Parts: sequence; C-alpha cells; structure tokens
Amino acid sequence: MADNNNHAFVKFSEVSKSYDGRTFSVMDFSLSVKRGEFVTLLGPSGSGKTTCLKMLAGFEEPSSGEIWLNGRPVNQVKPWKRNIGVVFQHYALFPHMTIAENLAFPLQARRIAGNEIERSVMRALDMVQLQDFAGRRPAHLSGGQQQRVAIARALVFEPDLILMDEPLGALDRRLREEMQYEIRNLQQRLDVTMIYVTHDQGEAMVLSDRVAVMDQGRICQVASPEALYEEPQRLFVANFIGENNQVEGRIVEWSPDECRVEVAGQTVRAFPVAVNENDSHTCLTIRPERVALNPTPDLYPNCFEAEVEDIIFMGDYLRIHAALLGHSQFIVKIPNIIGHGGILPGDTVTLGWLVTDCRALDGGRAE
Amino acid sequence: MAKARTGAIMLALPLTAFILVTFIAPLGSMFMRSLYDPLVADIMPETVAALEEWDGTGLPPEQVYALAARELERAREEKTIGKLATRLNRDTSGLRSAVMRTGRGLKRAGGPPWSETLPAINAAWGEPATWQALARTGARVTPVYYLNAVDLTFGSDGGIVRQPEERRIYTALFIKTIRVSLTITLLCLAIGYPVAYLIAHSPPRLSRLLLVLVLVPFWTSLLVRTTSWIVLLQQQGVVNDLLVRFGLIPDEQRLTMIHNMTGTLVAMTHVLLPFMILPLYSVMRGIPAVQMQAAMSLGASWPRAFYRVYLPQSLPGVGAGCLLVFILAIGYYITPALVGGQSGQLISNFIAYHIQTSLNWGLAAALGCVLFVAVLLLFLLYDRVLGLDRMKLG
Ligand SMILES: Nc1ncnc2c1ncn2[C@@H]1O[C@H](COP(=O)(O)OP(=O)(O)OP(=O)(O)O)[C@@H](O)[C@H]1O
Ligand SMILES: [Mg+2]
Repeated sequence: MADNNNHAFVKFSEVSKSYDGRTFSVMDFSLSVKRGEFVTLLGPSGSGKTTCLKMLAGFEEPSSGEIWLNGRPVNQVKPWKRNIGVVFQHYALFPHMTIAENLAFPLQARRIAGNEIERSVMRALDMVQLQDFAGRRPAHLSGGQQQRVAIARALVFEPDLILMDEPLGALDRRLREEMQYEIRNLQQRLDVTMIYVTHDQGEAMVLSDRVAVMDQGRICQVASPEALYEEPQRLFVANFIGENNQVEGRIVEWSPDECRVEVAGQTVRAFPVAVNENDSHTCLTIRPERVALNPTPDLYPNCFEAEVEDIIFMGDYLRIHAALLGHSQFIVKIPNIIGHGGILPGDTVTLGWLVTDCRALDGGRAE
Repeated sequence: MAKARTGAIMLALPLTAFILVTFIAPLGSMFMRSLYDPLVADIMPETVAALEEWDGTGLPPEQVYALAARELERAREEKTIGKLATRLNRDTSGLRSAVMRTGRGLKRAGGPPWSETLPAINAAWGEPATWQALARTGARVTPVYYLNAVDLTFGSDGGIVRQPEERRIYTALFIKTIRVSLTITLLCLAIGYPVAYLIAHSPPRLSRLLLVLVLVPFWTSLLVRTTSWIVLLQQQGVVNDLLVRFGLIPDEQRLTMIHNMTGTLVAMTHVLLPFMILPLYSVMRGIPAVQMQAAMSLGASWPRAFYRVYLPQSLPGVGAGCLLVFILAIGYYITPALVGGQSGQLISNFIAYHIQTSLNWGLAAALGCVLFVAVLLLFLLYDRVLGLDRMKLG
C-alpha cells in the first residue's frame, strides 16, 4: 500500500532532541527521504548528525516531533522492531564472535532456519569479497575489512533502510575513496534507501543523491550536491561546501535580480540570494574558479584592480592570493593553460566576475 | 645495555628482599614446619635411635628402657619435659600425664632394671603402644600433620587409619569452607553484576556517585564494617526491630542472624563485594554502549542482545571477580571470627586456633599448606579453562 515512489519512505517532521533539557542537540529537524534515495547528513562535529541517526534507529527518543518510517510513526517502536541496518562509526562488530557469527547474528535473531542462514552469510561475504575470512575474529582483520564486514552485517538481513554513521572515518584516504565507490555501487545494486552521515564534504558530494547540511542541530539546506555547490542559500553552506571568497558590504540598491553593494568605496553588482530590500548588509561569496584574470570588461560587469600577493603552483591550476576591495587573501584559481604565466607577486592585475557568480548572502555585519 | 640491566636489577633489589623476607620465608618455614618436627628426636636422641633397631612388637629391651630413663631425667632437669609430654599426648592421648608423672617419679625411683622400674612409676611404660608412639614421633620428617589435616592418623600397628569419629573435623571443615566460599562468591556476583553494570553505563555524574558508594566501605576499617553488622543483625538489632515493628515476626521469635552461618554469609558478602564490583566494572567500562545498540539494530531484543553480546564480553570480569572473591573468602579469618559464632567458623579460624591456642603449629602449617595447594590448583584450573591472560583485575 505504502510502496509508491512519491511517498516519503523516511520522514522527520519537526523533530527536536535535548539530552539535558536545556540545550538542543537537534532543532526542528524536518526531512523526507524517498525509497531508494541516498541522502547524506553533512555537518561539522557536534551538529547533531549522530543524534538524528540514533533517533531514527530507535536508540534515542525525540523530545518532540515525530519520525515516520514507511508511512508509520515509529517513536514508540523498539529498535529491534524497526528493521533498519546500521553501520556504526567504529563498526561495532562483536569481538567475541567470528565474522560468520557476526553475520549470522541478525538472521538468528529473526529465527531463520540454519541452512538458510548459512547461505545468506556466504552470499553476504561474497558481496564484500571476504569469503576467506568467515572463521576469523574481527580483531584479526584490517580496518577496511572490518568496515566491509560491518556493511555486510547491516545488509545481510535485507533491511529496507540503511544508516551509516561516518563509516569511513577511521580509514586512510585511498581506502576511503575505494570504499566510497563500493558503498555507492552496493546501494544502487540493492536499491536500498540510505541515510549516510559524514563531516567530509567531498564524500557527501561523491555519494549522495541529496545532501542535508546541518549546523548546530538545524538543517541549513537540503539539495543535490551540484545545487549545494552552485546555489548555496546560506553563508554557512557556501563556506562549508568547497572554497569561497567572502566579502562584506553595504547594500545601496536592491531589485529581485540584482543588487548593488558598496565595498570599500567601490560598487559590486551581485545576485541577491538571501537578502531583501530591507537588509542593509550582506556577505558576498565568489568561487575562486569563477574569477577571471585580466578579463574583457564588456563581458564582466564586476572588474576591479588587485595586487597579487602570492602565487602557488598546484599542478593543474595556479592559486593566486590577491588584495582587492580592501580584502587581502582573495583567492583566484587559474587553470594551468599556456598564456597565464609571467605574473609575479606585486603585479597589479584586473580581476572580474559575473553578477550571477557573486551571491549576496546573509551574515553581513551590521555596523 | 648491560649497565641498564644491572641498574634495573639493583632497583628491584629492595622489593625482592622484601618479598623474600615477608612472603617466601614465612611460607617456606610454614611448609617446613608441616613436615619437619625434630622435638622428640632432639629431647630423646639416644632412645629414638635405639628404638629404630626395635621391631615394634612387644616391649623393647632393657637397654632402651635405660636410655629412656636417663633422657627423661635429663629432660626434667632441663625443663623440656613439658613440651615432650604435649607432643606425645598429641599422638596418643593420655601420654601427657604419663610422661609428667614419670618425670616426677624418677627422682625417687630406684635403679635398674629399668624395664621394671619405669612401668612401676607409670603403667604406660608397660604398654607397647607407648613405645610405638615414641618411635613414631621420634622421626624428624613426618607426614603425620598432613594425615591429621585430612582426618587420618597412624594406627597402633603403624598403618594409616581414619581418625576416631569425634576427631574427624577437618575434611568436613574444608568442604564447608569451600561451600561457604562458593555461596559468598555467587551472592557477590548476583549483587555485584547489576551494580557494576549501573556504574559502567550510567551518566557520568550518577556513575561517579555510585562508584564512591562502593569505595567508601572499601576504605572503612574492616573491623568497623563487620561489627556494624552485629548492630544490625543481633536479636535486639535494627533488622529484628523493624521486622517486629511491621509485624512480620512476633517479638518472642526474633531471628538469630548473627554469630552463626547467616552472620558469616551476610558480613563476608558485604566485605568482599567491592572485589567483585571493581573488576567487573573495569571490564564493563570497556564494552562500548554501541555494542548493545548494534545488537538491537540487528533485530535482537534487549534480553537477547544482553545474553548474546554483552554477557560474553563481560565474562573476563566475572572470572576475575569470582576468582578474587573466592580466594579471599576461602582464607578469610577475621569476619567469621567476629560474627560467625560456633557454626560460622571456617578453616582459617581453626588454623588460627592451632597457632594461638593449642600451639600445634605443625597441624596449623599442614592445614595452611592444604589450603594453599587447593587455591593454587583452582588458579591453574582457571588458567586452563578461561586463561589468566584474559582476566582483568582493573
Ligand atoms: N548521550 C548524550 N548525552 C548528552 N549530550 C549528548 C549526547 N550525545 C550527543 N550529545 C550532544 O549533542 C550534540 C550533537 O551530538 P552528535 O553526536 O549528534 O554530533 P555529530 O554531528 O554526530 O558530531 P560528530 O561529527 O562529532 O560525530 C553535541 O553537542 C553533543 O555534545
Ligand atoms: Mg557523530
């Protein structure tokens, strides 16, 4: 009945959680996840990501609000009745059981017949390529292998929903990238719904259909990785995802499509995102790769003189630190193409950008 | 390299010496005492030597009587005859007065033939059993204390026989001590496990408070803790008063809960409880809460998750706590002495009795050694079954 694709498979509606009754770890959290979707909760440490997962898994009860799973409210449902596979940050494998016993555990709890269990366990081990490790204890596996076991254990009982809490946090970078693709592949192959937690924005970008950026217990923005990068709605998101130049200024003229902002005595033309006609201050963000070096003035409404402070050679691009509009350390990334050499620190250059690449966001300091 | 090693050894020297003097030496001397008893052989060397020639049947020849008379006379002069009498009496009851009387009688007695004079002073010298006892106790190295410790003794024919009915107490006492220690261990486990679980998995503030509540009695004098149980449990004590107040028992039928086995069980469980809780707590603290969450998320109800995931991981603590409590209980002395009354006495109380009162140090040493070996065996068994390296003491 509840299995059509439009309906939210997981739904948080205005969920709040306070552990001590005074401070809120999660505030007014609302999020809908469709069946088969891969949604990531992204946010800095302490932003309440784990708390959200714990409430969904049933280890913590929301202080207010309701969580829905497959169309049913689950606040009163015991964790072991929710049929959710969870992969924990430090794997939480059972150290006193072999790998095979670890995988058999959820099946035994469901009173599945012995030979059936054996087959499922072997299949799950196959899936993560650990057939030869069935008889070993978790302590005798490498971090990456333990990680795979944890994932296999969360999948072996074929749950409808999988939660992963920073599952790759303890792995080195190479292994982490490898595992990211493995996780994404598995999720698409098995077509399960996935809610994933990380504080690594790169990981969130690679894996997710949608990313929910969290800050201090609240959701800042939920969008596809591309939209988050291109169209951040809040200063926090703009800074958290990728690199951004940040310039504060005073709004002198506002229309829905464009506003003029006075910065250090000069006027910058910007696209108003999170400011309206009543606001007097704003924070402009400009992506370093959207800044043109010595551009044709006709094409770029924003062109300003800048003094080069520093040039860093990064291989495929040059990273230029410049001073303009009264700000130092303004970052510009120039692709390493023939013709851009010859700039030296101390040179005066012109930097330009489009109106749409200069987003006027919240957070300008009122004087 | 070598210098550092020498330095390290030098640093450990005071400790080594300390252990040697306070632990190894007393243990060694106790072990010696349980096997080596030169008293009779020292006081009557020639008689004992002569008796070795004797075939052990009938009465010894005149020459042995003469040696015995001379050495008894000398023992009386050197005032060692009392010890001799006590030692012989321990072997064969009645010999104390026989020897003491002989000592006094020898002053006035005539001369040879001693094989007539001695039995005339005291009839015991006419009995082969007396001479057999002298020959037996004359051996410097003797298993007799170990035999006594397990209710055996030498028969009149020199063979090993069971003690007479009324003196068979130690085997039963050992069994009782082990049974009581096991009971105390199980009581401690039953009470300590939930407490340790609470301490390990409560919010920090509550957990600290609980830990202090466990430790405060631990820091309180043992004597105070034990005697406070007397206040609580005696006939006019708090518990009985409450029971009577609430009409659970009539006033004239107040319960006897102290100076018997109940008192020993209650007080010892209380005294030894921290030794169960602390190792349990230290192991449980190492089990992350996420383990139970993982088990539950995988479909196991709380009891199942506890039984399959938590309990097995806490077993090293259970093993350590039980071993610790059991070993402490089996040799515990002061608490049963204070609150155990007659029926609540354990083997260690009898060892103390033989050391302090009856002065039968040989038997005390043998009982101690048997206890020591029993504990050692238990330790090895534990190592075999569970592995000492898996044990965590905190
Ligand atoms: N069991 C708890 N009791 C009290 N406060 C808690 C508890 N768990 C979390 N908190 C608080 O709630 C807030 C959010 O914690 P949470 O673990 O959800 O953050 P997170 O986003 O997962 O961070 P991280 O990336 O470091 O894992 C934090 O301020 C934390 O101190
Ligand atoms: Mg977390």
